[in-house]
Amino acid sequence: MPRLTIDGQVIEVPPGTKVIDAAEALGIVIPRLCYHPALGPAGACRLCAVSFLDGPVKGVLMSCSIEARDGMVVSTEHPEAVSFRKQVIEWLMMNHPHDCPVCDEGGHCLLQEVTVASGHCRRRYPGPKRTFVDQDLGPFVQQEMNRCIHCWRCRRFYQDYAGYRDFGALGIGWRTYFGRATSGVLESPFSGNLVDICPTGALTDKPSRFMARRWDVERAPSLCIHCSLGCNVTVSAHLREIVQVEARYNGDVNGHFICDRGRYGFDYANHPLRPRSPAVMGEETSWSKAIAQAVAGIEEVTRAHGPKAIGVVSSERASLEAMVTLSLLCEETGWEGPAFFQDEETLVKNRLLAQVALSHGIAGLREVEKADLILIVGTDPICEAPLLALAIRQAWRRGAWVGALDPRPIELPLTFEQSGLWDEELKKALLKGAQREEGLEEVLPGWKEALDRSREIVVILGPTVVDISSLRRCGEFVSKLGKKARIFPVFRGPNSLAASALSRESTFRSLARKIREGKIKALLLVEADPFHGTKMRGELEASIRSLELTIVIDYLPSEVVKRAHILIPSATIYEGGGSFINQEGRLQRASPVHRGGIPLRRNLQGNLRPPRTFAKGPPGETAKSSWQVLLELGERIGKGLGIEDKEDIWKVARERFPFLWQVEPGGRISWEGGGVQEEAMEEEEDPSQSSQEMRVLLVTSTFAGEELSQYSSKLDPVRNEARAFFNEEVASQRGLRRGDRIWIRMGDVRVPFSVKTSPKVPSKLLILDPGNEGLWREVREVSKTIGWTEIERA
Amino acid sequence: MTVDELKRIKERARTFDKVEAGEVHVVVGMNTCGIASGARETMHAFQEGMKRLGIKGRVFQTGCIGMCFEEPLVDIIEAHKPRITYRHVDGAKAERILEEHLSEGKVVMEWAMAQFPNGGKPLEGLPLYSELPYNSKQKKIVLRKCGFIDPEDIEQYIATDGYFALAKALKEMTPEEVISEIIASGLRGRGGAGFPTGLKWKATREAKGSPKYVVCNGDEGDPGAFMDRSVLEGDPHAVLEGMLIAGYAIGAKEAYIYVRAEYPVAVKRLQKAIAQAKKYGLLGDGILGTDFSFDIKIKMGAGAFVCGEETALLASIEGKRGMPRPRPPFPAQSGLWGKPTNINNVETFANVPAILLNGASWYSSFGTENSKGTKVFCITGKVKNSGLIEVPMGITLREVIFDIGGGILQDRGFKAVQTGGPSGGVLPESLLDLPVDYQELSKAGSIMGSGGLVVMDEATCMADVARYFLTFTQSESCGKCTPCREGLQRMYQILDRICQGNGRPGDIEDLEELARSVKDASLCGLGQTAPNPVLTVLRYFREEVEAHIRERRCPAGVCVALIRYEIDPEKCKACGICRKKCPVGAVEGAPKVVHRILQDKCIKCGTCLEVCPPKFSAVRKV
Repeated sequence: MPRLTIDGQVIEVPPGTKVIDAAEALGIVIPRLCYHPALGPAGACRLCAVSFLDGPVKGVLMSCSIEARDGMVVSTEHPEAVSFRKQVIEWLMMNHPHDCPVCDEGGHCLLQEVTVASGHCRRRYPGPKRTFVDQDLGPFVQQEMNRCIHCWRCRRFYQDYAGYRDFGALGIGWRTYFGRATSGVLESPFSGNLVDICPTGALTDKPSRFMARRWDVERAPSLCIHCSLGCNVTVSAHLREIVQVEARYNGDVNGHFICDRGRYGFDYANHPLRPRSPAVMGEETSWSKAIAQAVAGIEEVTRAHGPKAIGVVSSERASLEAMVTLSLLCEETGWEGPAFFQDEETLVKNRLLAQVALSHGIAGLREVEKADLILIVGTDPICEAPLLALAIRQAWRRGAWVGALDPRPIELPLTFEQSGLWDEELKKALLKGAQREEGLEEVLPGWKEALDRSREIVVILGPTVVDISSLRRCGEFVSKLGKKARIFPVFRGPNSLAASALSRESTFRSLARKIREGKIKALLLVEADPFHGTKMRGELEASIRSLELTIVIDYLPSEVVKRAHILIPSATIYEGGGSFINQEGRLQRASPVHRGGIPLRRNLQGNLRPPRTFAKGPPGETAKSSWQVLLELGERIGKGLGIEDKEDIWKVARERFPFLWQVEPGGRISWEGGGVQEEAMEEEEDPSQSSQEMRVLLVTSTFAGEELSQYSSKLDPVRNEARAFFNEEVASQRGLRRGDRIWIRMGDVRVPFSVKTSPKVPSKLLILDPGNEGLWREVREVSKTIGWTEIERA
Repeated sequence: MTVDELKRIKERARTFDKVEAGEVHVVVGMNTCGIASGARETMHAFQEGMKRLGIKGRVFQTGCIGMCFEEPLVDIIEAHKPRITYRHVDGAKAERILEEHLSEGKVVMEWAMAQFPNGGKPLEGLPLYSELPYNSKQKKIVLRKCGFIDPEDIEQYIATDGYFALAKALKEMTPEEVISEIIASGLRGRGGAGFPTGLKWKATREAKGSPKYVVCNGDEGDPGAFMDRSVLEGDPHAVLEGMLIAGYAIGAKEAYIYVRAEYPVAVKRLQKAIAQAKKYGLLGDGILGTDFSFDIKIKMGAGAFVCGEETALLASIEGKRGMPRPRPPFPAQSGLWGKPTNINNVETFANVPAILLNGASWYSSFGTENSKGTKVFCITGKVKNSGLIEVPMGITLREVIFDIGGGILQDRGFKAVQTGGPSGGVLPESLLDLPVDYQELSKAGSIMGSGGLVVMDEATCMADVARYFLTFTQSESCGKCTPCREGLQRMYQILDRICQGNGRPGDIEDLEELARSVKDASLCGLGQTAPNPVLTVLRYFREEVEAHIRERRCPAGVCVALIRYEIDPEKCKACGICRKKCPVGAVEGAPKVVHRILQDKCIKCGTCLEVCPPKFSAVRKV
């Protein structure tokens, strides 16, 4: 371990540590612009110069490029180094427009900071400043090239780290331009990170442009709940509106970056139709009246039909506090539920996935980055958990081999093998793999060689397209690989793992069955919308309509909210905070960011302004999180849980659900999985075996299909159209080509799709991604199979 | 291919330049310099003419013999007669040579330049080639075959001991012995920095990691430099052989030659050479019956000056933007695709076969204490004989410019010589006796560089020269590091202002400060050396720059903004020539009316001065 002296302090650092990091470990922050821990040294800005007074190297050198070695004596304050850095700042300032007063970066600008620190204040060169013409880079990133100081971070992130090529450096010398060949929307779903890593105002956040000065916003550490990865974010709110989400560094989870879905999906919290006030039968009313109505209704149903006539539904996006409160409340009252999942199959798959992963050693994003062999089974990382793709790329950049078994034409920013297997074929392949180590070589050329030299294997496994027996097979397969293999489970929601652990037998489907049978007369839906992603809309509507009482507690303007008898708005994660367990079992907590309320828009368009009322809190404020509402309801019906605040919930939960709560936030839970009752599941027959029809697989994409971000207007410009993926050969036999427009008939609705073809799609499969297609909501039942008679050319 | 077969080819091909009685060999210089001067037409004329006149023999091409100023050069070889070299042979001259020399045996003395003894009686009145002043001070090692063999014929290369150095290395020496031989020879990198080649090889051999790569840097970007191009065009196999030996020494199996796409002839000849070497089993698997395998690929560069920097070059080979990265790690540890890589210049590799064949002590007998061997230079600029030369290290600049170069064009006065291209410095007359040697040049504020020598005469403005080189470097800066990107642009702006006559007191001090900090702070060699021309100009020609600022005067009369053309009304005879010739109509006057130059229209092209009849000399430059 090299020992070196920096500014008179001695430190010992691991071999390979750069001097700039060694200094940081001592609390000495050497000015830097191009150096970024995730991107490594570039040696471009020359700002991190320090004096090496003694040791193996001497002179003024760049601390980002030099590894710490024994006997180094470094001074960051030596006059030579200070004047060197001052000169660098002077160079950078020669062409900088000094427009800090109108620059969104002002106040948190690294360049501003180092310039002021250097003492530079006088312009010695009277020459003209360099100017550039800006480009429109799409809805997320605002370019202002004149402010650019050429640190190359954007290009290194975009091309090297993230692997997209449409943004980069053009031209050379002082004319170097960071942009695209022509104006256009950035192709990478990680483009928002450019805003975070740009050390000045050259690339700023477009949605929040000119909305607030940095020192005026309310900021708090929060979590991204747009997938199961649990990326850490910092959220800014201003005038009762969430204005910006930025990546928050967490070395155990997301590192420095987040995806654009997580960054721009926040706008559901500002949605103009968001329920802001309690309502009974669609009429706005006061809190006390709404609660009183709910209590009366519950009591009436209980009196008439018993507690089992009340069903409780929640979802994978509910906070752990809500889930725990709900579970306790159901135990206390004897209500049916809570149901966190749509149907039995999903529940079993989730529990099984959790069990398989936990029993084989669960992997998170860090393990993926370190792996040298990555097998993706039934997951489309970019669509389901975008940041996972970035982690896979980092492993690939270090030499990892990546293979995928999935019927979808997966796109990743790296080179990988994919075999479009599904169902029986997938089962067979996994069986072969479980029998012999090299069994996958047949479907994934290169597997055996990669396996032979691998030391750390990660199998990425998702429950969306893989069936139960394949999941189980995958577990066997991973045990065969031995100790060096881990499973990286990809769940659908931000709290799926907790939902699996807290679930009993109930699912929404089982409750719906009981509604039809007349056993359930009332539903309590807590942050759940059964209409989201449902394939049986018609049936669902009938069930909901037949209920005597529907109580909805939610913050989304969801479809079930519109059908609620009693609506009680709840707080989002930004207003109420909450705990979530991510896909690797890590317990994390989000802090409340602001009090909430109807955004105070400054565009003076009358109706958007909140009404002038006199109240204690801001208009439209939802002071209560769903668990608080539930506690109040419980109290009022005489089933109080003795819980006052969050601390109480955590205390009770620690006793009742120790597997979830033994760890401090940030740690991984110790649940071993279990409780999977497989015999309850009957495997469905494959209906396409005997016919000409294609089986339908419903999928989602990065910016369309995830529940919360669906309500975010910021993502509207990048949502994809509805796409239908056909096997290339099958499509050409039918005269369909990539880009053709077709109608697919489902019941009495014709939905338009754009044709996509790929040789990877199995020939008897039709993959449908409804994208942002509004007509899709009219489909009453999604067919399991589709014949060519139902497809016509538009 | 075995060594015995190689020997057999040598025996068979040995006679390529021996001519049977009654036959004639016509050798045409077909390097880019020759082709640019019309050698293709000349060659065609000889081919057609010999057919037409029924002359037996053959016409073949060769590389650059060095005398670019005399191209197209044609050698006529006949049995038992001296080999005659003709200069400036165009199509028409070829016809007369065909008729008089080839048909009738009469040497056309007025165009003949020199002769080589080739058996038979030497011709009287024609100097020997080796006694020409241009050649007498040269020592050719790298260029020894350029101009004598057909670069597109591997057998001619083999006939002149080609690939025997490789055979010696593979059969008689261990890789370590090869490396110690190179170390002993004192060969230093000819790309400019002068790092000892053997040590570089040793470091790469000892580096951990595999595979290892050999890379040849042929990205010659300096204005006025064409050494690498001439070697690649004139003797490509020497470079290949050098790379093969390097590959054997460091334990590499794969190599790249990075050559600019602007060198189509060099690329074509390299492609042919590689194809031939593969055909003869000198590249590929199991070379010369050993288990040594080697493959060479060509990577064409797109003409960025910075790609001559080794880390930028490697990035470019990898398909990335050609930009340097911080060193260490050096390419020897982590180069191409992160693997140990040995990267040398074209000329360095071309030296290697000769060193192995003749021994390290032979090589180190040339040159000075710490700069061994010879160096190829391109002398260009205001010099009579501009061309390609190879001289032993330690020769003085005076010998190079006045003895070999023949002095200044139009016998004007010498002002300065620029060594090392835009990265080097401008040296004044007082340093003409400086020996050409890495240390000495560096002490004088310049560098050896890859070997460009630009000679400037007294009509050159040194502020303008400094500005010119900055124009080049600031536009060729890759834009990565701050000092080079911003500092050079700012230096250029200051110099441009000075040349425009808008210089201010303090500009020179600012320039010096900027230059020193750019030199210290830049990431790669481009920025670290780009201020050299400015620094040397300020060191040796400070008064001239000061005159621009203090007196608003360009002493050399070059800076357009600082000069003016005037017509002396006393001398003007109103002949109207200048009025008619002025491209912008800036001369006012009429027949019998004394002319006047309208200064606000004048673009200072100097046409009026040129066309004013000497008997009047009415136009003058002020």
